[in-house]
Amino acid sequence: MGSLKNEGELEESKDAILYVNGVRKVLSDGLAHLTLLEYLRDSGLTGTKLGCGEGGCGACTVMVSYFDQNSKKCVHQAINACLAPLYSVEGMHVITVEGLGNQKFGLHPVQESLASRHGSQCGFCTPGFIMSMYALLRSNKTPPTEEQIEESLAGNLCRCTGYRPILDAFQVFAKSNIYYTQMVLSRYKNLKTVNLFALQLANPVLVDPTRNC
Amino acid sequence: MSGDHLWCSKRAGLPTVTNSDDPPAFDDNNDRRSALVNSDKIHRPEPASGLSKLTASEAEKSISGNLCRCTGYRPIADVCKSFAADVDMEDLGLNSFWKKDAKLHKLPFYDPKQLKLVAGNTGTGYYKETEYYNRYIDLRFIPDLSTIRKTGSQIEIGATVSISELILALEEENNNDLILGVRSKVTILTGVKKEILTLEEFLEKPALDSRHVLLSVVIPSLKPTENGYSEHIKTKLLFETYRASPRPLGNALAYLNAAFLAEICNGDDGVVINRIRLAFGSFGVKHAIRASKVENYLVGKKLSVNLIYEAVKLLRAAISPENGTSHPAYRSSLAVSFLFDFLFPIVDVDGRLHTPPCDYPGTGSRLTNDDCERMTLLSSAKQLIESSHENYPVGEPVIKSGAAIQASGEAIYVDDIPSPLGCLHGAFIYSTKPLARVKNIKLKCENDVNSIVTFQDIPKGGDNIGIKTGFGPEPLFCNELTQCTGQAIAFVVAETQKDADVAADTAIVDYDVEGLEPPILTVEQAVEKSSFFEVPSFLYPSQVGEFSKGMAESDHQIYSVEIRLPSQYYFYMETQTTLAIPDEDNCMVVYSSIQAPEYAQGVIARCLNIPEHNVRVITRRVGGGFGGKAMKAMPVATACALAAYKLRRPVRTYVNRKTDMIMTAGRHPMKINYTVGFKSNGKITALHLDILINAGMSPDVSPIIPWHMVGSLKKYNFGAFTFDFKVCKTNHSSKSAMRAPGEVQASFIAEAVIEHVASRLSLDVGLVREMNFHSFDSLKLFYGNTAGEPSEYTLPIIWDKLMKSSNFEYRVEMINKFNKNNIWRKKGISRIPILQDVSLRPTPGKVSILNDGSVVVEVGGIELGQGLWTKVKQMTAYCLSAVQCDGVRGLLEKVRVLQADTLSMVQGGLTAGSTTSEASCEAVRLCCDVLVARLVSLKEKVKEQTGSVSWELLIRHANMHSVNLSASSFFVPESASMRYINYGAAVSEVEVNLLTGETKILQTDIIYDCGQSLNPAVDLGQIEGAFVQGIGFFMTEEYLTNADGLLVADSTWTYKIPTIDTIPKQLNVQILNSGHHKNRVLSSKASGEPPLLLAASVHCATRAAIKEARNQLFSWNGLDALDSFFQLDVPATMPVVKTLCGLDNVEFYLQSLLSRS
Ligand code: FES
Ligand code: FES
Repeated sequence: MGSLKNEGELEESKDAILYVNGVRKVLSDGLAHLTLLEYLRDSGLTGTKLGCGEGGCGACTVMVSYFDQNSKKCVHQAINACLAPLYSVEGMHVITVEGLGNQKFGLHPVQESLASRHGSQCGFCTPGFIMSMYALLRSNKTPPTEEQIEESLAGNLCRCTGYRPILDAFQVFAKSNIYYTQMVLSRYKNLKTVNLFALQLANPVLVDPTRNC
Repeated sequence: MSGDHLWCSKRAGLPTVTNSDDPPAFDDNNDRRSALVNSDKIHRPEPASGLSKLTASEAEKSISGNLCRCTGYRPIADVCKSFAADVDMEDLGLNSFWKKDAKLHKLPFYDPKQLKLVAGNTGTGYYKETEYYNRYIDLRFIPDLSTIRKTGSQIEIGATVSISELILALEEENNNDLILGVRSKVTILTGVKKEILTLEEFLEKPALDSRHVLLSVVIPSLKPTENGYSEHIKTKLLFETYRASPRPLGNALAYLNAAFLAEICNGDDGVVINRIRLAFGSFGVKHAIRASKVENYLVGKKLSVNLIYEAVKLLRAAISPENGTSHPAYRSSLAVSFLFDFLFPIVDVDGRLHTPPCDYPGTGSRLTNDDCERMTLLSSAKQLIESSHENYPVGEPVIKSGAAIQASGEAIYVDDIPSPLGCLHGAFIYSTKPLARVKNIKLKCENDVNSIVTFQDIPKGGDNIGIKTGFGPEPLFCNELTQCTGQAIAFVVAETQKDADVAADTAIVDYDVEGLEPPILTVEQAVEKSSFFEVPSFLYPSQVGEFSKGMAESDHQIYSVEIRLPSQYYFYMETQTTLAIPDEDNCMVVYSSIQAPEYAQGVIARCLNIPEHNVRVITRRVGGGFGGKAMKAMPVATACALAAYKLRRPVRTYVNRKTDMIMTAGRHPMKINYTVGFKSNGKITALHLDILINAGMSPDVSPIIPWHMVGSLKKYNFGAFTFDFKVCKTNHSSKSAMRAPGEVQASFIAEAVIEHVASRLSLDVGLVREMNFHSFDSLKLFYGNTAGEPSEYTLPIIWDKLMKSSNFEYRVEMINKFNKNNIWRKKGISRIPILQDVSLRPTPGKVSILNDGSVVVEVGGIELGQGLWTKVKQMTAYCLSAVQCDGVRGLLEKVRVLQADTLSMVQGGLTAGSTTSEASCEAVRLCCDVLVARLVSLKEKVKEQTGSVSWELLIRHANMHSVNLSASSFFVPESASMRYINYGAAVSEVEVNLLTGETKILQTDIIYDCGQSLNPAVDLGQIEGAFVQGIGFFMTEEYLTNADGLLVADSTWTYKIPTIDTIPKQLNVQILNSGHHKNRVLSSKASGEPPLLLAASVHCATRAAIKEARNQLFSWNGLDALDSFFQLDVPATMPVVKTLCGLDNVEFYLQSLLSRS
């Protein structure tokens, strides 16, 4: 597994690469039949769930980040990993729910908020909701409005909770809620993966899709 | 996804734009037929074999979502298409995973069978791939295709630009100078040639073949004063888009989209239409169309009521969905509604300008727009919980056990367990015929398949058994004869889940129906053939009073009115799944997501003909059950075990959503006939029900449904209450218990009767409800011992409380006012009570204390997400704290609940019926009492020696003194008190859009009696979750089958459970703490199922709003609205509601205006 610092090595590499939660992955040839979801789950990242396989439930939501040549900006998007062909995210950075936080190193505020506000029952939809919310926060420079939050979650299904507690849990991240800033600031620094990711973003050349041209 | 007609949101403050798919186009040449771009034409040259879905009905092409969420970057034209194969990939600079140096001119011709061009690949969401490509070419990084170029007069959108990017770009534009879709042009690449076509030309061309690529769409800006259209200062441009779909925000197919563009001129004697473009899409035709007849009719004419009337009549005829499209009349009526909405606000009745015409671009529907449209849920929910602290930590809103690892993705579900070495994957082949002989199964991709398991693989001495209930077995696989659609025929086993799924999906089954009787597909046919499952007499509920006597007392009667209720699919997020691992000595370890591991153990043992002690079924957590993983998980576990047994290798399956929906089925559909007698004041004196329950092919637990139903039907004092139930055996997939099985239907039936009586008497329906409330005496008469003590009958308190807390009277007044002032929106409100009796079942428990003082607990109940483990932990901590040593307040953290294991804890039973949490708690309490008794005297001794005793110290001493630190129990509820009634009530307010049939749930207030809640946070979650599931049943989830009974609403695209945008805009829940209940587990009551029944309030409120609409309609017709009783179907989807409001209400309205003037 390559480290993010290893730029020289990247330069020469002819391999297709992909970053998953800050870890460099080399994609071998012949995986065109795989979806991103299958790849993630096969490599042990089972936090991302399969609920429908047809883009209709959001259980497989992950965030991809890449450097957009047109806008010259880093772009963060929530995508349904069950539809994305693996190679379509080549050169990008995929963040899964495992990349946000965990029990050992601490939960990410988005995770913690959902857990502590009873936003999960069976928990099967939970990672998807978390990633939708996380991607919204990442792609917005300012805290999102409540409408944006609601809209960003409209493609996620939950059969257990009736949604109210999920929305409640995420309300703390809305513009109208000052708690947001406090929480994010106080927690972000403890998170190893997030730090890695921050580094990654500071150095967007690493996720430049044209890098290997 | 190609071929969509994606309209941008009218909500959320986005400017109203259309994407290039459906722009209405102005053209210099007026009579040239223009239509909307149908990208399907471009992208789907000819369906490759096996991809027949590609050409499926028009509805599929309208996959909507204002912002597609599929992969987040749905391209404008999702280029899911293929080229020819004779090109070296490396030549292209477009190698499937290198986006290096992508150049448009390098795009080759391909063979669609080898390659797929993708730009996000969202198309596979709808158009399922059954064949997999080895290479994909990603077009998103070809600069020519992926940019938006703006020049002064136009905007060019590359074909792979995503909808969300376009919206952003247009938001920036936001200068009102831009009208989209006006004179749009399309650029196509054919070989090396670029071709620029107008939309019209483009659409007239035959479908493009694989040599063409759509490159971009060019949209010119349009300024009324600059472009030559509008020299006249009084000329205005109007532009508007419309969309009607089951979900305002979430993914859903639209019923109809429309975009209108008009140039009008405000002359001296009225408003004249200079030009107009009317475009309609996604209503069940191959591609979107322009209503040119209507356009031609309107052009040059002065706007008047009459003109609109004539135009909508023409339009209705012009919008005719193709055969086989669902709700065709509804879709045409939507077109009429939208045109009316577009034109009507411009004129007043005299043909004068009503209001100054709006500036373009339009701002959405004018007639039905909310004044305060966007109230988000986020700021509008209230929860009130009354908890008690006397049993700490029981009663605290403790965070659900495992919530943190669920949120971090670390929680392990069955499919997350790493595959053991050599593990194979299975998939079901199911029948698509209701009754037929299976002659032969042919696999298309034999090479990828390891084995195919059928009933013939069942070992000698074993039974062909997949489900076992007290009422009889259900076979695992059909023998020669399949008895319903969705019945398992075989289980294909392959190296990967995908291989197995594809093999099962593409398998061809040869059926033969020769000489067979026709299948029984309706309950009527079942009655004709006396095809019933027997209801054991001890389960047949008892009737109350004498029907004839009650009828004799009545002043009015309603005879034999029919209601039909459909099925509902469980839709747990985790589909059925199992991992079976053969172990030494003929043993089998089975990890299953199941609500009844013990049952699966029995079935597997019987099927494999091995003793039960050889079968270990392990269930840690279940990703949602709702009854669907009680019985219906058994065949899945058994099939895996059988395959593993046969192949001597681990076998797992994760059933795909479609197969799960088709095989697992759901709630019982039924047909009800009621006859009711009542007094003039609304008091019902007699009710008789004839109920035919469609149970499907096997008994499952269906014979118990009547019992469940009567428990909830008796919520009112009907005087004499009699019934006749038939549990029909039909050639449908077997229905099983889904959350509140029978109860939700029963509760609804009772309300339907009340509504009918009120309507007949023209009485306020609330008064009729109250008139028929039980006194405690009548409750006792109807429910016997189950009624409990008078103080436990809390419904009257709840009812009054809710009246106040929901501000009911005031809101009724406001609604009346609203309905008077609004023609096209009507509100309704309804308050309903619910009663549901539940029953405790015997449950085992085991509590052990380890050396360090940590505690491990096993219970019969399964953690389904309902918080069972959390309550069990709280109970353990509370009960052990009775030892009264130091630090017992921290005990909660020391308790761990173990996964269910059928060999570690026997008699685990079934987790269902709302009461397993409390029963498991009680079992644990019995264990803890034993342990406490063993520890207390020791504690006293130690205390004497050391002064104070911590929990850890006590346990160390206990170990030294060889105290048995493990206790197990089997809680058997006392028959006199095992049943009890739960109470709750809800008020719901809805608003119905009379133009589209859309129902918005504005607010719901719930009060629910949890006794002394064991964990109010968990119970709150149960109440809200159940309620929303009920909304699905009553409002959104259409369980559509074909003539053979095969479920056709078999995906997330076609089966619509509630989403964030279809739940109540405001949801207030109050958990009532009704104090001490001596026979209950720490005075607590159940919360898992009864709140689902409360969702009938939404349905009743919708009925009230529709009633207003119909009264108005009748007044337009000059008819008397009195006694215009109508049944509102379940689910009350948009077409259902609109149909009742009048599919032609627009015409009637216009007529009434015309006749007035
Ligand atoms: S699994 Fe449902 S959207 Fe991907
Ligand atoms: S918590 Fe079970 S589906 Fe959302």
